Amino acid sequence: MPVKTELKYPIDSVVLAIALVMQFLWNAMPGICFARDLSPVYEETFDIAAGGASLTRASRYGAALANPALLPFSGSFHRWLGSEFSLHINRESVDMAKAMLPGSSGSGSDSSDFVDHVFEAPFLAGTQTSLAYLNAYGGIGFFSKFEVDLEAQEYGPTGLPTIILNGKSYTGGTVSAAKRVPFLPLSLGLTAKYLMISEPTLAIDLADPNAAAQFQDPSALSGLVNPSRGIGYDMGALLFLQGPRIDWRWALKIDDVGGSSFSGGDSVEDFKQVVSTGASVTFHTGKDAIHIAIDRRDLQNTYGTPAFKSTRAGVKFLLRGYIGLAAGYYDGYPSYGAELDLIFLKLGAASYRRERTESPGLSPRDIYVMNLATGF
Amino acid sequence: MIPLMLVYLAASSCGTSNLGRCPASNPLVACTELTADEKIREALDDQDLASAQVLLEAAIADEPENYERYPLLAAVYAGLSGFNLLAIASSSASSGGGASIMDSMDAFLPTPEGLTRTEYRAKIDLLGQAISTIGALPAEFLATSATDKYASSASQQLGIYQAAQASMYMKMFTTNFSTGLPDPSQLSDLTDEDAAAILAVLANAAASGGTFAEAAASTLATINSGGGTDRDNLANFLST
Repeated sequence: MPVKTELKYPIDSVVLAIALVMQFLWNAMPGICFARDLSPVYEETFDIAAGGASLTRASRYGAALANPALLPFSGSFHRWLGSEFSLHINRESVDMAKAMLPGSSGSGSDSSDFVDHVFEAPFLAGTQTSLAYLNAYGGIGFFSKFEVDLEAQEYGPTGLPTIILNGKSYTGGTVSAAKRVPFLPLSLGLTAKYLMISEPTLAIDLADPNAAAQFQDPSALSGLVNPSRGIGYDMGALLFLQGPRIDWRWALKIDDVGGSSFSGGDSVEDFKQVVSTGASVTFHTGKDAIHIAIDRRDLQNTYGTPAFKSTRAGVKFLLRGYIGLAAGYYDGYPSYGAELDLIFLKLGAASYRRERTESPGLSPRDIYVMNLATGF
Repeated sequence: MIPLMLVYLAASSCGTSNLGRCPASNPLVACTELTADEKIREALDDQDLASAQVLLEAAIADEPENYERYPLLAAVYAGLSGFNLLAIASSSASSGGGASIMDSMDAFLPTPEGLTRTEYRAKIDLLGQAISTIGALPAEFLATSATDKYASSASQQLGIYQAAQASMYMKMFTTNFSTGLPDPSQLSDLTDEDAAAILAVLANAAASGGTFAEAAASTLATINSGGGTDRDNLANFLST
């Protein structure tokens, strides 16, 4: 089917306004170097498996935060109604749990065993949940994401053995609106997000008895999570050239338009505006598809993110409409995963390596993700 | 084109090394050079203390006023001397209470067994380098009451290394280097200079206010209660 590009009617004024604002922000915002993870605050397991290249194709609720302009091109009015739960855990923690199980050779019950294991390998665990309704014109969703990363260094930042805790707690709600530009293979989308964010960081000097004793009390740890609140806006555009066997997509996304400010709590750094682009090609039959995508995040280098973190690439194989396989490059390492779509129940798993810092190879985490989604 | 690029990316890294590492493994992703501090952190995390020492010495020579690196270099010297930092973390609370400094430190120190006196002396000197590295910090970075984590940690390290050096020094004259067992006959090698040096290090450890200050002070008081010369008092203490 030939792609229509002829403009028969004037462009909707709302669409035009969004396009103009996007163009202005693209040109006007200066680059400020400050490191930050460029992944969306909510990222679907299958999209992670495909290297996190989600600007031109994203799964379920992930679309609202990956690129809201994806919503009108879902092929039908209804896109997703359901909830999801995913568990993130690093490979070493699985090994640790096995070793600490009763009956295993390394089993033990006290906290010193746990600390010994952390000195051998870092511990990472997290969960992510969501409840959302999305259709071709927008939607609403709520999500919660929590992650704790525990690393022990024999030679810590002060020279003495140190346990370093990095936490992430993101909770929020989103409202999305999206619209296809009349008579053009183009869509525009907007997601407004209310975020409650806490990113506690703690370094405990183990040679200092006072420092260690301070955190024997669980309330001292719970007091670390004190969320900051703020509202932000993401805007996206998607150019979708559809053919009988091959589709081409090009996406432009602006995260945190004009910057997102947070107040209260632990005074989380404001999110800077980030402009990203992505391109993809999809080879498809009626029921199968191969989607190959590459994203380049933070085009203006606002956060000074190195290329290995700002470049995402991946492939999604969609077979018969109920099996999905994905592979890609996430943070400079291979990622892979699979998803089984049983109509109302979707099971997914992924494995990827995330670089915790901006330094390649310095602090990677091998992470397994298991995902359960119920909805349609 | 894109599939070919992905295959190329996969082939060049095989999943074990980050694509962003320098030297660049492929032209598609620009490599990111690690900073001096990141290279130091990598060497420390890999327990490659020899490399960490070289990197830290060079970094401190380049930027002598970056004082956060001094405690790291001191810790590296201590690690190279065989001092077990990790063991001290798990049992630091058990020190003090009037125990001898040698009893308190025994678990963290290298045994002289199998070493020559020269080799063991070199390890003591490395601890001396750790002490002098910390000692090179300005006074405000060594304040025991400071709220700055680096300052309080540095003063704590200083006390630990002084106590460790005094303990290793004393072991030189109480242990048979062939068997690793206590041997009072080694005391015949103890000179007045050795005794003065050991007592000076002990006095510094006692004054440090750190984790082992109480044990150092208690040991010093016991030694000095002998009423003889420093050498005789120390020899008496070590022979019991």
